[in-house]
Amino acid sequence: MYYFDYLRVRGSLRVFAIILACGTLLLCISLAFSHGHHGNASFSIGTDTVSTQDYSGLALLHHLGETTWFPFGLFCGIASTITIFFSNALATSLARYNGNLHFGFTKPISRERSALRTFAIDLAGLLVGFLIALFFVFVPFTLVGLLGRLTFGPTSLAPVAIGLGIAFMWYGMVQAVTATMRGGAGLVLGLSWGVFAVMQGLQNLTTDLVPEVVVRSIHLLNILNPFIYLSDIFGTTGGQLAKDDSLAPHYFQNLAIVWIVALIALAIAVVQRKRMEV
Amino acid sequence: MNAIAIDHLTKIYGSQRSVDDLSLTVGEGSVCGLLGPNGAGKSTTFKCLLALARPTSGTVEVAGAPVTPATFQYLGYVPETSALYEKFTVADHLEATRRAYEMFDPARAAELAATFKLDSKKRVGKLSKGQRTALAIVLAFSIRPRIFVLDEPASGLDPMFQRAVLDLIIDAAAGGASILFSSHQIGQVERAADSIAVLKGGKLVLRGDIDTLKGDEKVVEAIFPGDAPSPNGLAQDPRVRRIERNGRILRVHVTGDADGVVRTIDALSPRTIDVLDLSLEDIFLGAVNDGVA
Repeated sequence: MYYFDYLRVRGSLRVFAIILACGTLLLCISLAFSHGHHGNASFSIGTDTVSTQDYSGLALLHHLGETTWFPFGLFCGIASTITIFFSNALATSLARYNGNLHFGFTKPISRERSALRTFAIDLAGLLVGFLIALFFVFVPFTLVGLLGRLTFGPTSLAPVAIGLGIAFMWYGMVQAVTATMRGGAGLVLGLSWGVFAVMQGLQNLTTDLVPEVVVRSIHLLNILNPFIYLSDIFGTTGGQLAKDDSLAPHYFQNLAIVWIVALIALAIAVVQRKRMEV
Repeated sequence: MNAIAIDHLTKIYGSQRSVDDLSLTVGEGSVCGLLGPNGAGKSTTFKCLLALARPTSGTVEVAGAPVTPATFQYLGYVPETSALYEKFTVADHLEATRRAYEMFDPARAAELAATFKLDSKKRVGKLSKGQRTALAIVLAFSIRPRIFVLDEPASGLDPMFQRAVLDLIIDAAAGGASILFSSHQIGQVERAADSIAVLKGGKLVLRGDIDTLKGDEKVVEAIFPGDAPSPNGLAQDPRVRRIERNGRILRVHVTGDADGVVRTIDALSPRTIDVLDLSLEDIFLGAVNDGVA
C-alpha cells in the first residue's frame, strides 16, 4: 500500500523538519546570546587568536569564518550524519504494519513488489531528509554571511554517498530482523544502538587481551556495524578533517560494503516477507 | 467453472489441525454461508483461500486458477478483525484503494460511506469496531468485485447497518457476484445464502442447499413443567431424525407427518407443544451439537 507509505514518510519528514527547525533556532539563539558565557577563553584558528569574551557566538563564527575556508563536504557530512538518525524513524516500516496484513496482503500487488515499493519510498524519504538536514545545517552558517567561504572539490559529495549508505545499511538490517515481527520492532531498533556501540568499542581489543580468534570474529562482525563507517563520512585521518580533494582511507571499499550490506539485508527482508503467513 | 474451489484443504499449526481435508466449492453467482462455532476453522479457511497462509496440503482456486496478486483485482475481502491503518483517515483508505484497484468506483464508495455514516476525515483509530467493519465493507464493495470473501461482515454493527450489509450481499448476488461469507448470525445466512457449509473442528460436517437441507422436516417442540422426559419408543420411529433434550425442553426432528409424534409426546403431559418448520439454526445446531438425546 504505497499510498500509506507515502503518507507515513511524509509525516516522518514533517516531524524531522520541525525537530531540526527547533534545534537550529535554539542553536542560533544560543550562539547569538552566548557572549562571554564560557569565560575568557582564547584559542587559535590558523594564525588568528580570538577570545570568546570579545564575541557573541555568531560573531565568533563569522570572525573565524573570515579566516577559514569551509569544505562543502563538511556540511554534507553533518547532514548525512543527521540523516542516519532519521533512517531510524523509517527502519521498522514493514513491521509497523504487520497488524494490517489482512488488508495489505490482499491487494493486487505481489508482496515482493509491495516491499520494494516501501523501500523505494523510504529511500526517497532519506534523500529528502538529507536535503532538509543540509538546509538546516546551512542556516546558521548563512546567517553570519559565510556562504562565500565554502570550498568545493571533486570529493565534496563523497560524504553523502557513504552517509546515506550507512543510513540505508542500518535501515536494511533492522528491516531484515523485524520484517515479520508483530511487535517489538522498536525494541530491536533501540537495541541495535547498544549492540553497535559495544561492538565498536570491542573493535579496539588486541590479541594481548583476548585470543586472536575473538579479535578476528569482532572485526568480522563489525563489517555489519554502521558505527564503524561513521569516520568515513568526514574522511578523518588522525582527527583532521579531510579536504575536498581527499578521501578517507578505504573509502571506496567501505562505500561498497555499506551499500552491498544494505541491499543484501533488504533482499533478506523481502524473502521473509514473501514467506510470511498471516 | 466454480468461483471458489477448495480441494482437500488441510492446514496444521503445530499440533493443531485447524482445517482438516476440507473440500468446498462455490459456484458462479451463488452465495454460500460458512458456519461453525468459534475455532471451527472458518478464518483459517479464508486465510488459505486468500494466500495469507500456505495450506499444509490441498489446493485452493479462485475463478479457476490459483490465487495470485491479480486475483485481488476482482476479489473483495472483509477480514474478521480490523486490518485497517489506525493512524490514517477514512479518506486515506479510500484513496489508497482507488490507487490500488482498476475497478474502484468513487461514486459507489461515496454512496456506501454515506450509507454507513462514515466521516471521511476521521482517523480509523477513532472509529468504533462497527465503523471499522463498515469501512472494510465500503472498501470491499467499492471495487465492484465479482467474487466476495466476507469473514463476519456484520460483526460489531448495529441492527440497522447489519441489515444494510445483508442488502449489499443480496444486491451483489443479484448482480451475479459469487459470495462466500461467514457469520454467527444464522438469520443473516438464512436470508442471504442459497447454500451453507458447516465446519466443526476443521472438518466439513454439513454442506448443501438450504432448501434441500430443510426438506420437509419439522420440529416438534414441547415444554414440560419439570425436566423433559425421555420419550420411549420415539427413537425407533423411522420418521424421527433426531431428539434433543435440554432441561424442560424436548425437541424432536421429524420427517414427513408429525401427527403420530405429537400424540406420543402429548401423552407425556407437556405444558405446551408446537410443531415448527425447521430453521437453519436447527440445521446448524444439529450439525455441530453432540448433545442429541
